Amino acid sequence: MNTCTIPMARCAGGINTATAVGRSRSHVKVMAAVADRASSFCSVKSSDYYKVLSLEHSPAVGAEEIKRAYRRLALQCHPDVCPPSRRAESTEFFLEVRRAYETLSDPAQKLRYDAELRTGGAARRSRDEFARDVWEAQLSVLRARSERRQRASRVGRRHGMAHA
Amino acid sequence: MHLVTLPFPLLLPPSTPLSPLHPTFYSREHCLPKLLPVLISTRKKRQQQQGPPKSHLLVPVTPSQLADSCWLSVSFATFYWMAAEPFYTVASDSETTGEDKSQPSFPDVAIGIDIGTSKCSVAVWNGHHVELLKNTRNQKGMRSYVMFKDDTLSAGVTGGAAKENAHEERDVLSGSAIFNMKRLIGRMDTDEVVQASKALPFLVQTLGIGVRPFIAALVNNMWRSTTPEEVLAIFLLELKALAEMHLKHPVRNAVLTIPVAFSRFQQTRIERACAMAGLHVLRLMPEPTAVALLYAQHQQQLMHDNMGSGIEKIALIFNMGAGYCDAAVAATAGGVSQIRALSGCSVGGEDILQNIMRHLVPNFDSLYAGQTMDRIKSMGLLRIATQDAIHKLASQDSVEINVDLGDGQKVSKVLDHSEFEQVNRVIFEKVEKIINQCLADAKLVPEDINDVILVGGCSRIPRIRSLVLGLCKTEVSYKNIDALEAAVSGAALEGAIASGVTDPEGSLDLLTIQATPMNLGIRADGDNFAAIIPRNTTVPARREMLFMTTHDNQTEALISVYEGEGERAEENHLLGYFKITGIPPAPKGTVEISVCMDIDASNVLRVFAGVVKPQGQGVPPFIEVRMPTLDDGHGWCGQALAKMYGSKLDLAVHPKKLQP
Repeated sequence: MNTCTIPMARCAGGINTATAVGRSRSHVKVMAAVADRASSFCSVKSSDYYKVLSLEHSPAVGAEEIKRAYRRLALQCHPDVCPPSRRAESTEFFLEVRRAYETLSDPAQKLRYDAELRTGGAARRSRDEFARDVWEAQLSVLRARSERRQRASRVGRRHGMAHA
Repeated sequence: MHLVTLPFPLLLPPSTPLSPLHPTFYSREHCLPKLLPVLISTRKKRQQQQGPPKSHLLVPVTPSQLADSCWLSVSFATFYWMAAEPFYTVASDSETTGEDKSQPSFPDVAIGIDIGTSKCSVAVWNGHHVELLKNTRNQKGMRSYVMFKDDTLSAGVTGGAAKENAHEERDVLSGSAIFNMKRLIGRMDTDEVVQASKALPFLVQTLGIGVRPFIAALVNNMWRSTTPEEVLAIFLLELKALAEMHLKHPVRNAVLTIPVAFSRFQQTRIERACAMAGLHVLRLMPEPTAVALLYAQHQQQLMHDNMGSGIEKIALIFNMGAGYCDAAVAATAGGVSQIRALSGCSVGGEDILQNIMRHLVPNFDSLYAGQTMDRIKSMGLLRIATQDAIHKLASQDSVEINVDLGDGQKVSKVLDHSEFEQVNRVIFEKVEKIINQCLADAKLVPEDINDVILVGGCSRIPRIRSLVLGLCKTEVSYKNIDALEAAVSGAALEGAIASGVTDPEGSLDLLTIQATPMNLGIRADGDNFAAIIPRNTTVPARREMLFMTTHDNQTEALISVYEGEGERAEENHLLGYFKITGIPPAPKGTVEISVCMDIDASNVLRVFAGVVKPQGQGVPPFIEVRMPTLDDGHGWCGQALAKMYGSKLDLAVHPKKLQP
């Protein structure tokens, strides 16, 4: 498994499929960052806007395609069409989709964003210094937990093999 | 029909204990005399047998139990108790939840209501399509008024005692009826709309200090006071009863349409009136966005019939009724309608009517200065004649007005289009401004517009039609929409979608992505207005802005939240204010304060504010405030704060804005 060096991109991986599972996973993280008092409420920026919109990762993606992806996702995840129990969660996801759409549908912003992506998002990271800290803290906890689980299953498997 | 005999409890004056308007009227004993002993004995038995009860118990429940929000709703609920079969719901038999929380078993589809300044309508998704409900007089659009007479109240839904429209209109203008409540609700007495409402036959008294006006209806030669909320609630109560009669089950949820120009405070007043009528507001939709939803459905239908291309279509929706005028630009494709821009103002048919009345009777203001019985009657006659003339002018080149106002006053005049347009020039200019602003905000030119949709009563006025179509550089308007039924149909569609109804044919796979109609921000940089969520931001929205202190060692900062279009704070509508205290002492400009505004999926506005720099233990916690907090006195609160604190608690916009 590829443990990314840029935490942002990793989080986006969770949203990538834009399924309910991916959504709820990203939601937990976003909320955790928001819940922190000192965090500025809006600076929870996710990652890769192309992945948020489930688009091909290339600057050649056309405006019409971006619009269609946004509309399709809106029809799935806008809080108005989601059951009340998932409202908060879908609001978070929709905000992210909207942010991605606003950036990528504006030619000037898209150009800047594509350039940022190429340089490894260095410019963005400095702006989201604090948010990044939160993400990283979150990630290290999650990573530790998954490692522990993996180790446990590996041990279990070995035991199983020994028995066989 | 039940409804005709129905409002019997309403016929009693609110002061008698038998009236539903009397607080003691609503008590559980009234509604549940037979049920309570059964319920109690069952529970006792269960407890003896099984210890603490965990299972559910089927008990008959009356609608009155469901109507828990206000005692006003009880009159119709009791009607059901007596006239309808009690139906069954599953009530939890535990001590903590109580019977009141039981969920109804019928499909609870929210109804759509269009409360117009002059006419109201109600519609519902009946499983296949939207159906507009008719009252006992076979009307879909019901005159919006509530009549106060002797000891009775009656709303325009049933039309009161009057059988003919002409009679009804004369009664409405007799001073005993309150109408135009949509223009008055949530407005302060300094508002020019309230000032203009003084030319109405009922009493609108103002003090001009920024508090709510005093409103009263003439009953037995006496002014009896009321409020716009109360009048609207009584009206909604009858609308609700009408819907319940058609649907044969209680109605709880509703989607209402509102003008774009409604402030957030006015929206809370509408919600209040609905709660008084026992209705829960699922959504308040700006009128043109409800029309946009209907348009999106039409486009989907065309797609299904292989007649549409599926390409994004841009529609400009213009709506002008008696009280308000709104415009919206919506981009529609695949059932999704994205609102690109909204604009609106409180100009409508009422202003046109008053302009013409003043034109016909030049000494209008001095003639009708004091409201005596004679003057009210005379003004009513003038109003009817003028209204009639305006309607006729929609299809005729000129109209002759002949009316005897009594007391030797006579009006005899021929009015033609050019004169009509000259008199209402200011109104047409405002309409032009709204359309242009909407196009500019949507970053579009007239050529981009695929369809122009004209709705509302005033869209019948030839000059309005030619003006809007001309601005959009097109010849014809969109045809497949009924000008008077579009908004309520859209609201009913939204009601079905919001209630989770799905349609196998896919005609409910729709979505309107809403936008904020006005800037939201706080007072900063002296008296300036710093917009944090600019208008036409997609909802739900969350935006943040950084501010800094303006004085050395400033320990407190005042956050005054405003809504509006003005560049200066005081030109906008004050929604509320709060203080950030315990700011660590530091030189001015070094403390950073973050103010974040959040509009959630239910359109609730929350403001978060707190110190973000310096950080550490010595910093006070963030504050979260749900807006609006103000209930009254919007006019003078800002002034009082300025007088009390001057610039002591001021903030300035931080040059390093966080927003991209």
